[in-house]
Amino acid sequence: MYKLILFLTGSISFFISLAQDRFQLARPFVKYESVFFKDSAKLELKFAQPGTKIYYTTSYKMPSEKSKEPSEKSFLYKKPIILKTPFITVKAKVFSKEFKPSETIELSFAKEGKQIKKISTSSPNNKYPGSGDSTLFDNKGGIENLNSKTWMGFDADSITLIVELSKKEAVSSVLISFLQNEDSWIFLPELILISCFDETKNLFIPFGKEVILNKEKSSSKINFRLIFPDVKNSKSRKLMIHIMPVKKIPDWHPGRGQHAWCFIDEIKVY
Amino acid sequence: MKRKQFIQQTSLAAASILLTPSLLKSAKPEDTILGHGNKRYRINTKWSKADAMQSPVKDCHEMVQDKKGRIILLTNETKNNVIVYDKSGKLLTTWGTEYPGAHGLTLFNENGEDFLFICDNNRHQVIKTTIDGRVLMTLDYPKETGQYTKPEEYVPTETAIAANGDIYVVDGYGKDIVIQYNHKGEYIRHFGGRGEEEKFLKNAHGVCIDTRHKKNPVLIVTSREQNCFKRYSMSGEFINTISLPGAWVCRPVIKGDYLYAAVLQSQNNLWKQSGFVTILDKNNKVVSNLAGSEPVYKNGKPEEMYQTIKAFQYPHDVCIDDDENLYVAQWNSGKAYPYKLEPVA
Repeated sequence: MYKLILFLTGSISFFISLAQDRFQLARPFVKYESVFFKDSAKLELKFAQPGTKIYYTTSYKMPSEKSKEPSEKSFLYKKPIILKTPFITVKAKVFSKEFKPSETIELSFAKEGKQIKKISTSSPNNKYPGSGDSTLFDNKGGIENLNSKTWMGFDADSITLIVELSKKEAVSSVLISFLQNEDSWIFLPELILISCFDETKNLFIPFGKEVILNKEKSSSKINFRLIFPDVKNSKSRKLMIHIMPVKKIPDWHPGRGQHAWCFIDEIKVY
Repeated sequence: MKRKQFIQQTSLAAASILLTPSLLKSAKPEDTILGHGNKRYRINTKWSKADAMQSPVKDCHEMVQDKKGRIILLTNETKNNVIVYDKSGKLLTTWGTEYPGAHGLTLFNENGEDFLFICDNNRHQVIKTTIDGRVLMTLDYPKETGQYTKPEEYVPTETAIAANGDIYVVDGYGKDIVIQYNHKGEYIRHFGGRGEEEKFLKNAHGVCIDTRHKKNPVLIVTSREQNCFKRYSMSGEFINTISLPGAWVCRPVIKGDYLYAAVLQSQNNLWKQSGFVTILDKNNKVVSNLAGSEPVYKNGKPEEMYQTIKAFQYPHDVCIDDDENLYVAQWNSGKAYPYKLEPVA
């Protein structure tokens, strides 16, 4: 009996030390060209560490909704994932017996919506000008590196974008893709206001809006904001988007009180 | 047998009976084996016996071993810029209070005596000292190159000393040029710098003299933001690039037939403690990544590399001792002391 107790306590403490002290796995290596696509996108996951497996979940809901955390009961990654539906969020995580599971990576993909003819923008900062007139509708983006030419970076008090569609259509939602990288002072804006052009009245009428509270630090990521119409008749060929970046960085951040950056890489109209 | 010993042995035996072999592998950091092929190591994160109150560190930038076998660490903590250890991690002595930007540490054995070269980022100088810290020579910003108008533009990160005593300095946080001096500190020439062509550098963070081909020593210079090393002749003619996709490599360190380098971080996960250590063979082919992805070559080129195990945060230098143990010094990693990694047969 005495021996048995020793057996058990010994192995229990061994287990506890395992659970507490193991190194954690790094997050999976991801490879994709862009998170925006016309027909389909390919997502490749890699992890060249023997004894590890990548598990992932997918969610086809609107990007603002939470998708499931991967576990060892989720899909086991075997080959590149082909994405075709309008919105897909993939979450992936690496597991092994030897190490603590990795952090989860989360990537959202969006399919092309209505055909955009032109987007005129107020001037971005000349350090982050993007890559020409079609930067915001070229299906290129979703790259976390803020120096990527897919980003237009703004440090102004307000940003105005005029989106011209190829034809007059009923608009069901507008997607704006932002970079959220608070370590680099890049925040989501405080407010997004969208109006649509009414040809009969010859003026822009309110379409919809979103208020964003940058209450606490979030991890660096690409953040899709989807704005729905408040109005019944959203038929239009021209939209005006006003974006108000954070003018005073909140108190929890080392840059408190100063002006934040706002980075945009793509706009989609559905 | 004493009671305490008995309990220990019994519980170990119990553990090995109750645990499946795969679970047994899942061990504490101290039992974790990192790396690939014949370059595998057991990591010891508690090697340093230094007292953090008495002998603190900030960034642990570089390490070298002297002829007495001691391990010498350079930190930008001005309470003790240099910490001297024995191989077991016992602190032997410390010195240095005037190197606020202590960054590069190179040892050169000159006619049987060890000398150190310190690059100081904040002082914009390179300082030659005796092994115990007496200053022998100070090199200011290299006006002779015609590249600089003031000291602040020059931020030297590393030196390498050739067999004839020539000093090569890389301005890795300044203009990315390599400056060659003779042993007296007289300017000879400069090369590298920034530009579009392959011979240019971006973040020339480290330099070493590759003596693996005895009759034909060459310079290897880090181009960290380009994720590669670049080879030059001893007089600065560009030879070729050693491409290391994904790896923010620090200085190359030659020991035996191998080249070792700390990788500050992985390109796919920037500024998130994603570092590892890489090891290249005599043909400059990656053979092992410690806490990094297993090296894979396709059509003669390495696939992008990345961290796989979060054993390190931001490795900044490696030192390989006379017993082939490897030490890792880290930048911006919570004032962590160096780790020691022992080879696994």
